[in-house]
Amino acid sequence: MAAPGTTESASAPSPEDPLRLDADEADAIAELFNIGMGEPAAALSSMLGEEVHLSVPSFAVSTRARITSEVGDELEGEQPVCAVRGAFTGPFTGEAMLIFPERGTLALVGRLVPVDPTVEAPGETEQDALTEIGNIILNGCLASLSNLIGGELSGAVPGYRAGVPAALIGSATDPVLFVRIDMALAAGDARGHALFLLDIASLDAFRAAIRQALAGL
Amino acid sequence: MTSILVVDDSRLARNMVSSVIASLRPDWTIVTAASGEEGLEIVGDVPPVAAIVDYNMPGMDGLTLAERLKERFAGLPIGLLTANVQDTLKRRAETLGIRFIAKPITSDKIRDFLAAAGQ
Repeated sequence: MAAPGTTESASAPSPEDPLRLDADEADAIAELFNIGMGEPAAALSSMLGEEVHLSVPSFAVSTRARITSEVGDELEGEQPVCAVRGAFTGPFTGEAMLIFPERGTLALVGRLVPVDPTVEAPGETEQDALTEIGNIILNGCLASLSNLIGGELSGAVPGYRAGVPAALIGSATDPVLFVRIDMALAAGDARGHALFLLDIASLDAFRAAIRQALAGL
Repeated sequence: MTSILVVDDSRLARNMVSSVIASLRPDWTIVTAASGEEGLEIVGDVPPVAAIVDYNMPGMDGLTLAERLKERFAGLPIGLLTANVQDTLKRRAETLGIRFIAKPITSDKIRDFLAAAGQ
């Protein structure tokens, strides 16, 4: 494993870099997550009665500190955000996370439950609704990935937490594999991110899982 | 020359679709592109027998690409290959007369598409 603080770049790793993923592997990871998000996004779309726009998945070797900076900037900086997070284990381990700004959260869950227009932060009902949405998206994606890799990824029941991005994503500088898919409701009033942070320690297992998935496709 | 256009930003997806088509129609030329813009450029004015295009791509999305292809080649059979299985997208594809093909790709799905395209 690379030492914490090692410069991490998916684009130009040294040949000896243990984090090295070639272009085909990176492409395959993005495509597997693209496929994995399809069904849960459709489930959410029918729940909300509205199309859910998904970005092309991006994949990088990054750090929690850098992810906080990148994603946090887009999520209104130091404003509190709402997250549904859960660890997952299996052929590879990591953390899955759905993050929306507070206002976006209220707009999103407002499709499912009545939201008091005067409140600025999600209350218990809104938190429960976002947790359920996170459960559908995150565990749905992990289930699809499990099927693709022919193994079982077990996701913990995701939990809700609000705070500044650094408090939710973290500020560690250890390298992590990072998959990001941006989500937005068609009406444009709720934009957030599905993030998957994979432990580098499980990179070999992850590679093996990818090969397994490719062999089965 | 019989050619088919395959457009997907994922190299993995392009390779998989190409490999299935090559096994089903070994005499066809498979023209691949990584974006809608590239697809429109590379296909030129020679009509392929069909096109298989991804929906979720950077830049032009697959439905826009399909519309452009239909403008250029009236009646071109097009398959929208996507993991995005939302009903709204399926309906938009149907409205444009485009066949919906859900990822992951299988030989059967491509065979069915080609059969429906009269190929």
